[in-house]
Amino acid sequence: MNILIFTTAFAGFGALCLSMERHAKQVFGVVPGALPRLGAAIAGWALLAGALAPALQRYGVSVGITAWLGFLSLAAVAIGLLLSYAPRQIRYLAPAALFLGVNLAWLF
Amino acid sequence: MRFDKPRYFRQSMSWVHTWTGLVMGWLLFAVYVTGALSYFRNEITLWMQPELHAAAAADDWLPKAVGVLAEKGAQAQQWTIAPPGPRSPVVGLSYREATAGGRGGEGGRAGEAARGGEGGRGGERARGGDGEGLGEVAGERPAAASAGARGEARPAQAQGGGQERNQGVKRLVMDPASGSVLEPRSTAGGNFLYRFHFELHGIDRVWGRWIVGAATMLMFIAIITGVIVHRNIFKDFFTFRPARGKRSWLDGHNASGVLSLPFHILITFSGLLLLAMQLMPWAADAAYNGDRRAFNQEVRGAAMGGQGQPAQARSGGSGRSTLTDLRPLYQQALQQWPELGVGSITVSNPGSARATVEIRQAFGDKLTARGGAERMLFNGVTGEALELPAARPPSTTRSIWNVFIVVHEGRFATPAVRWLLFLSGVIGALMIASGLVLWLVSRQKERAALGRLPRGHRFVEVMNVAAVAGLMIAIAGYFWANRFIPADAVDRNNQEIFAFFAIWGLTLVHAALRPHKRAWIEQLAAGAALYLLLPVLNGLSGGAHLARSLFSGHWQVASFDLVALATAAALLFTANRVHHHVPRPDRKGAKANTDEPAELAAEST
Repeated sequence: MNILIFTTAFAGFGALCLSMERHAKQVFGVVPGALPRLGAAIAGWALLAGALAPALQRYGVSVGITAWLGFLSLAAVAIGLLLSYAPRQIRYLAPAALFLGVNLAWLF
Repeated sequence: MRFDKPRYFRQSMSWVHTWTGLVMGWLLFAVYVTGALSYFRNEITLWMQPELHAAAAADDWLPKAVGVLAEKGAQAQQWTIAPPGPRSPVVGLSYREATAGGRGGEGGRAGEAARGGEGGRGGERARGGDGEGLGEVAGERPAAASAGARGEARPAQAQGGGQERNQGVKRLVMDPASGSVLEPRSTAGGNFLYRFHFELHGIDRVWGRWIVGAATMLMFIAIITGVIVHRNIFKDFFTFRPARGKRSWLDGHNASGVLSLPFHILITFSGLLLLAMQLMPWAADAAYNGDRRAFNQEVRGAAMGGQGQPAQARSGGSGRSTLTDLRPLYQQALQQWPELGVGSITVSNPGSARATVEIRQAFGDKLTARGGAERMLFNGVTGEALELPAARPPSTTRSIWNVFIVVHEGRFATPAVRWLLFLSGVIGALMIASGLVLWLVSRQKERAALGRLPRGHRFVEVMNVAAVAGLMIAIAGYFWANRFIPADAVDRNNQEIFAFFAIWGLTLVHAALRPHKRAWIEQLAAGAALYLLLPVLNGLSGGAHLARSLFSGHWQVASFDLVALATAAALLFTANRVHHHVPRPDRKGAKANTDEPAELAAEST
């Protein structure tokens, strides 16, 4: 369940970074159009919010919120480090995390 | 219409941010680091008691524990058994002598009994005293109930922490496998770091809390103004551009702040709430006409939900009787709480016909029900379950308060969540440290124009080195002192604490005597060496060395050593970067910072 929270948050921040001009350029080399970026922003925020669900299910309301915030920090730092040192990898890692998350979600 | 208005606002916020950050940064770095370590204070205390490292898990510890208690505490009024758990490999035993301190009133005993249970396993047990101590920070700690609560520190810690406040209760530590009573050294342990993070040391604790409270308040201000000052919080959300001097420091400071912003806000705000009663007791004073004891009792009453009454009720005669086998009761409790397990088993009036057994859940899974851990009650002779008075649910206000408090303390948190809180604390410490360095880096131009080093800047340089690198050395030195001070030394705990401050003081002297850059390199390298050798020292001075603790799955000890190694690596990496740093005037004339020559070449094209 922890992995599910993390992968969802990671994919969320991944999408969110693609919605920002500077970061999208770091990842793709070119800045995507406004519409895809808007889509990425919506998907990103939705995923971040979505990561709360498994946290609540696993830990109950209040510890769940703490755990969610903790995983958000961890995922954000992971994306931040990737953007600094291996930005292009996000193209693969974020969808992979999403894929893993979706598959894990079926398990629970 | 003036479009430049917001800029003025931002500039003034920037001023507030810079100066609140600098003034309190040195202290806040120490608060963040020791606070982050507090999430693992039981593990730290365990590491600091190598006598306990050999304890092994075993199935049949319960009869052994009862045997030990029957032998040592035959005349006791009450026994408490804390089962081994994920945060403590040993069985904690305590018994309360019938004679001690008279019968300090049923109220007092009731509080003690309830707390004893609440104490729970490992973490909770250690916290029983201290956590509550902070909770009832309004001071004056209400006599009996609180004295009981404070005593619930872990058995071995109690020697340092609260023995004198806790007459009549004897504590033992038992190896679950062999059933033998262990005698761990007395240590200030993780408790010292925990206490330091909110009330400092060596000054009156009320003053200490005032100082930390003021620092926390300024931290809160610094966070808010920091967000306002951050120019492109959404554009540069993740941005970190390494090896670009001031730019990198600013990026690093921003990123460590923004990426775990929710945590920083939460931890600072809840820290403020925790200290609020200390700093601003006037509301409560007004409402309760200054009777703080009444206030505390009401707060606690609401939290305990009328659970304070121990199992005196159903007394059936007063003759002697044998205690029922506890194992089936324990099994029953484990089935009831499969995830959280059992926190404590309390036997009241053992050996008498009116004996009762109370079993408490290890952690409440709801943060909102702090103090409301579930419990089960049994007849101590027949083993049949007894009914409990229904717990009163906590009020909404109390629930909200609990969420903040418990989040801050990491109470009820599983290991994974505890690690996340710890890591977030580390990120916070990095944010503060980078902010401190940034103050100097961003004034480089000023210094260059001036052609000399102003006295104020030199002061900041010295303080930065001692507050950041020096603290890391002092903490490592504290762990070293733990193994070098003889295990049976008199006043051992204070010697450990003295070593901590003596070493920290020396780092300040060193930082003042050495040139800035050399001071950083030397202290970072010294710190790295100390942390690197900690696992070796552990193995050589009676503890379970890394190979053994890893092999036997003794994670509490192993993770301490692993974190020490990781810290060593981080310090060494930083020392190396500082060592290779070549100052150069960049395009704007300011100086670059942690650039390595190779990267420099790439950078300038």
